[in-house]
Amino acid sequence: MGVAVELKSTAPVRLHVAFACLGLAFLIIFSWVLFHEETAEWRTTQAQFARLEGTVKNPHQLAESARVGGLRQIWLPELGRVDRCGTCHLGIDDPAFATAPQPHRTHSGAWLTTHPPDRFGCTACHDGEGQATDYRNAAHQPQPFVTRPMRPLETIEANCGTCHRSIDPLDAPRLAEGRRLIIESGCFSCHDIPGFEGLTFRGPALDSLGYKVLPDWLASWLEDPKSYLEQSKMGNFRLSDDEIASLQGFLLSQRAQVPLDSTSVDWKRADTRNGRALFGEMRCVSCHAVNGRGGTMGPELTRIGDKIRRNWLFSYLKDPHRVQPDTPMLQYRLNDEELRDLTAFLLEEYSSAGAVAEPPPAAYQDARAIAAGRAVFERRGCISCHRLPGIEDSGRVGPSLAGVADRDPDELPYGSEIVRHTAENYIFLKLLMPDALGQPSSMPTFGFTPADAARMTLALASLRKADLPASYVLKPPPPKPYRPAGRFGELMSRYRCLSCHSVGGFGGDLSTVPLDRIGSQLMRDYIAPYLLNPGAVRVSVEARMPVFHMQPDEANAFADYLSTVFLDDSMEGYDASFTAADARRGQELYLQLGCAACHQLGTTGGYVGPELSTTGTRLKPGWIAAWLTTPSVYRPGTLQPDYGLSSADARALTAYLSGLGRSGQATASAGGAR
Amino acid sequence: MLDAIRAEERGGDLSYTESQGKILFAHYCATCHGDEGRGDGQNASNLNPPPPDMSVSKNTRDSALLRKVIAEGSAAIGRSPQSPPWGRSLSRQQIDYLVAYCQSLDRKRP
Repeated sequence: MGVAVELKSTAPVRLHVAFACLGLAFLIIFSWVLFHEETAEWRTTQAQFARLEGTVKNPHQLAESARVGGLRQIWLPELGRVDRCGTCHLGIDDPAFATAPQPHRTHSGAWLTTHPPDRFGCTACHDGEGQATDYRNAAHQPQPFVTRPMRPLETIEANCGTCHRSIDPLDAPRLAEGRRLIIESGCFSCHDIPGFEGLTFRGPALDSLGYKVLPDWLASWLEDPKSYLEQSKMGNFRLSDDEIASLQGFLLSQRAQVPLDSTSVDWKRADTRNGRALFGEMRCVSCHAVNGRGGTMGPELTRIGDKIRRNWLFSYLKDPHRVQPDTPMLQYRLNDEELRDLTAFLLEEYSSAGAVAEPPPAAYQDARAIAAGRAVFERRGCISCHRLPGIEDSGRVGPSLAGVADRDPDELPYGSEIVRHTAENYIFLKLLMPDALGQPSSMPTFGFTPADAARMTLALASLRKADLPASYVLKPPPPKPYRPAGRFGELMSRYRCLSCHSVGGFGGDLSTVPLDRIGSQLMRDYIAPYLLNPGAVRVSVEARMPVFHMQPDEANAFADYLSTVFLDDSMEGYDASFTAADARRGQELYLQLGCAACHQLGTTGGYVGPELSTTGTRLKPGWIAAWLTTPSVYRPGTLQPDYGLSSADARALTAYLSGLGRSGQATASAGGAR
Repeated sequence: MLDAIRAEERGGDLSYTESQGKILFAHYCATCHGDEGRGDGQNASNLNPPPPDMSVSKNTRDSALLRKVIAEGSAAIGRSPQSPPWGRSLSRQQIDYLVAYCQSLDRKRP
């Protein structure tokens, strides 16, 4: 000690001490690093895995699956991802670990086959911190400062949507539902939403509203659309009383198109019973719901009597295309008496107060009030959904939603809600209560259910900031518009075939029958009578083809065109010279395969598929054989099972089915045909 | 947001895989088997023998057997041919989902 004190004053000694301390510090740090590295979580996991492998595999299999230890990573420069998840999840591609505990377990399902990890990595689907090599830092659970922790499976479809950009990707029902809701709600009318370009949302034309609606109804609708219609697509704009009054005046002053003349109609003689019969026969409920039942393509009719003026409705039913050229509603061929009965029936039956005396359309003259209403109309972006001549579409009133999923969660408002701050929670809350997040918002309140809002959030959560390399993006091209010319084009437009049917993917999907090869499916002689009096081929289906009140020459024109143009060559050349043995064998197969479980024939059988007793007069043999052989090719998701029939078996069944409704024996069994 | 999705899936009772199966089940199977697999679908009355109550059937517990019936039809295990083979229409993944849903049926009893 004394020596040390004596040497204290000399500089070299001080340096020695300093170096000694430094050396010691380095030694400690070095051993700590070494220790830390040796006992790293992933090493323990790998050791566990090696032990587990010894128990689930025999020595022979073990020798085959000699694994490389150490860190394993997948580097995907194109996606900007480095995923080291495989360091711990070693059994992920090995079926032997199907029941092993995590992290060793085999990946569920067939996902690694459809999404090979060397192309997609792990975090592209699951999120989380790919570069981390321990459980906590990989953000298996939400962590502070991690914006994208691993997703629970319930929301994983948001990541499917980043690459899969069709509206309804396979096996992602929540995402598909979310996208469908976005389309139905017309979100893209006010917001730019990548993936929804080119779509238009069609609100009713307003240019003759003064002739169309009752003033009281309009005021209550503007105040809260849900008060009239629970399923209203229009949101509540939270307008003040003054705004409602001026907007009401402005809208009722819109009288550009005078309804068709109905002065000669004798309303006193209206027969509502006939109206009811027409309503049923024309299958209005295929598109319009009443009392909660029916289609959604057209407006709900339950309380239409509280809303619509009689003359306007009469005129609309007579020629809907004059009022709204792009409506999906077809133009029935009804005479004035029938139109009168139908109008009277609708207004009387579907009204909450019974028949009310209509106030005559008032002439709104107060220029100042009208100008104020116009200002509200422009400011709130009504033009995004409703066209009105004289008012220019000033572009989208809402902000663009491109990259919305990557917005900084800490800069977003959450109102008084106590939620984890994530872009998704913000989107969800915004959809549910746009005005209550502590920021002024002109977005209307749509009244989505939480489940619907969650699905829409999923769909919006796939809108990432950085775009993917094109080779990862799956987006089907939009269908080419189909607009035939000539008489067929006119008829198709009048009866709005494409509201329900599609050609080349263009058109509606209410009908399960696309028209692309309809001429090869249906017998020419079946089409015209069917169009004149469409019956139910499938008894259990609620939405049916309407009775158009079509002229016979129109039906014939349809039949000629459809069976000349919409043909599939591969079916047309089918050799239909069947032998009696073919048909007998087909009948055996019919029993053997259990066809009767779903199809009715005569008086027995199920009612899932079409009734079959007149198949021979309805369907062409080439189509029957093709359909039975590969049904999902012609209708993806069909309930017709694919039995993997040999062409001989398919031919036998075709022979049997083609005979139904033609020979004497088959007609006898077809007693219950329509 | 997650809560809203879970809340809908039968009080949070179904896992993701099971609820995927439920959606497929509703489309492909429920017309005969009924939404909950009780054998009470709208087409059940037309079937002889009628579809079984899957929530109590022993066969439901055997996932290999279940997979075989779904993919190859009930005829493949020596039953009536009324339940058709779905192996060519559905992917392996979709059949896995259906199996998961079928096996969840006996779990929740009110």
